[in-house]
Amino acid sequence: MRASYYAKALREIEVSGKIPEDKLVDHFLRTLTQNGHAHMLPKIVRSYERIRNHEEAQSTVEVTSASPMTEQDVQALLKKDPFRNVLTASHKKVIRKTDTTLIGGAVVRSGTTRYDASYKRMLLELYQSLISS
Amino acid sequence: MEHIVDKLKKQILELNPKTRSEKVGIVTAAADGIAEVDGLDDVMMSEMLVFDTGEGKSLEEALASGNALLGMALNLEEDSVKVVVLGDATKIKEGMTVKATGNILSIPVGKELIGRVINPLGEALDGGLPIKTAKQNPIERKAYGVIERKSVSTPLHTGIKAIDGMIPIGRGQRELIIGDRQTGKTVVAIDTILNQLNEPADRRPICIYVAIGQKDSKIARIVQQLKDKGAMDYTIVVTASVSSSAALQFLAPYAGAAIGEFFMDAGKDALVIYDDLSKHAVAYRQMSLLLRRPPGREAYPGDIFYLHSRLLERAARLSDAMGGGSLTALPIIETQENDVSAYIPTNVISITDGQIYLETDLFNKGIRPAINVGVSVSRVGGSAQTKAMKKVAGKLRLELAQFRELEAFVQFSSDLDEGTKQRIEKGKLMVEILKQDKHVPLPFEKQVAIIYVAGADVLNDADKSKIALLETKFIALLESQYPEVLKTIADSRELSDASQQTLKDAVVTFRGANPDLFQVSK
Repeated sequence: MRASYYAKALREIEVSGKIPEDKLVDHFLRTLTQNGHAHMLPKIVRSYERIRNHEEAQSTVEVTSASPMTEQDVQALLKKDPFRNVLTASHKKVIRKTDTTLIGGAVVRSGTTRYDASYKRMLLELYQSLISS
Repeated sequence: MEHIVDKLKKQILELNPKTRSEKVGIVTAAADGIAEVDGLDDVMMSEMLVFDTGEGKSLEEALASGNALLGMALNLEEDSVKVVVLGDATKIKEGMTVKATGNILSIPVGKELIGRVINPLGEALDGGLPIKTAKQNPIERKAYGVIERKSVSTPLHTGIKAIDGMIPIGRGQRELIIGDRQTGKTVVAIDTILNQLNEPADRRPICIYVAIGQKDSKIARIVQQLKDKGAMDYTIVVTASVSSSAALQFLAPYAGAAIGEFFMDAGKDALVIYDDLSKHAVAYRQMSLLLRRPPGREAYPGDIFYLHSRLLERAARLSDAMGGGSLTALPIIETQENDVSAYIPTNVISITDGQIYLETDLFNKGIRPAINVGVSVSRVGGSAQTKAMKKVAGKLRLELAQFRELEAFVQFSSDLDEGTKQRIEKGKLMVEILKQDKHVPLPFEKQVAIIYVAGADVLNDADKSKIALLETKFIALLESQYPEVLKTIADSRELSDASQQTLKDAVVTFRGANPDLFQVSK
């Protein structure tokens, strides 16, 4: 039995809200002991955290810019190319971050997909193209 | 000045930095050159990954940090990917972004590599300009199948009499060089590279010397030797020295094979030397243990045989329809205390098409190259041997085997019958004839000439302590007074009756001019 199977089952019941959280934990621990898999608990916790982090990353859009942006600036940015298709109905949160090393432009990240439209990347690409020619 | 400014303006104006979506993951753990990465769900096995070492750094710092830090995905696990870092692993930090490239790890290949010393990623190590080639070859590639191949039929001369005469190597063959430390394994390989200078330019193979886990000082010495003799004009050195990470040492032979395949695919002949696969296996064992793969015999992972078989299977002689190119492989294995029955030596012996076995005892007796011809074999090279060499060296192996059996009786020679004495004397002569100094490979036609006269019973009374001098002087005589016989053998690759007679005449002339090199008859 894999720890991830327990973690997935736990998360799916939690999301469904079929039983209260304190009862769920109690039931889960009893089931684990009953199946003789109590020793797997640390692995299951890690796997559960992974699932939670993954879900959170999938439902969040992170926008990093060189100078602070307002909510309106971000909304306007996400309507422009190449970020036009980033924001979907599954996204629940937009996080704004500032990184002055980007020089200009923005980096948008959603889950495991990243769009890097920063000036820093463009200048690094220009540098690479100049030294390799 | 104006020209440079115009060029820069054009480049800046034409640069089109498109923003594409990239698949990225996050480093969750890193230790011992292995990084664990979360989030790379679609990554392929052996895919090249780029660690974003410039993240959070200013442009100046990002530029100063140099080349991109690469990694290779090796363990695709349920929740994460384990990546071997191909460079300075100390730059890896927890939380660092890792970018998937969607490409299997590749190396630049092309004629531009000839004469260069590179690492397994194709980066120059010789202080020269960065390497730019039009093509890249994947480091791992499936070997050609039976339809694309043809039998080994063309010789690859090593310039070493004992090998070319008795253990001939053909183009496209895989011949193992095996022996303890300090027995001359690398010398055999380097002499083979040097001997290609004796081949006509159109038949000369491109040589690739792959140094795995060797000391930097040794590699520098080898490169200098190759340069001094002019052999770097057709040689590429791929090096992952002992100071390189285990991952680079693991990749080095595959990089060498990828470069060799480029020339083979172009219809040319290539020779690749893996020096040595024992250290390659050790590097792979280190990586596998760090990747937490289960250890097997001698703590090597279960796929250690496949590691070497898939590498050596890439050596091939292609059919005419495929261009007729070839890739010959000379892997080297270092044994401990002559133990060829250890795990890695037996594996590689069973994969290759024969082995050249070097012995410490022979080396210490002064028999150099210290090849034990009794246990050395070439399974396919015989069909690639030239007619001339076949003719003169056909009986050589048998005569030497008989001599080895009789050798024990040498000290009681006075009690032996005349026939046995003669066989012993002939054996002694042959052993002396097969001795050769290092880095002095002998062209094929000269080998044929000297082995012929030694076998034709015209040198039986030669002073055995002066055979090296006799050989040098005899070849000098042939070059000065009988150059046409050498040219005929080299061109026709046969030893005609006329050539045999000329060589016998040359011996008569030689005897007259050098009586001091022969024993006075009683």
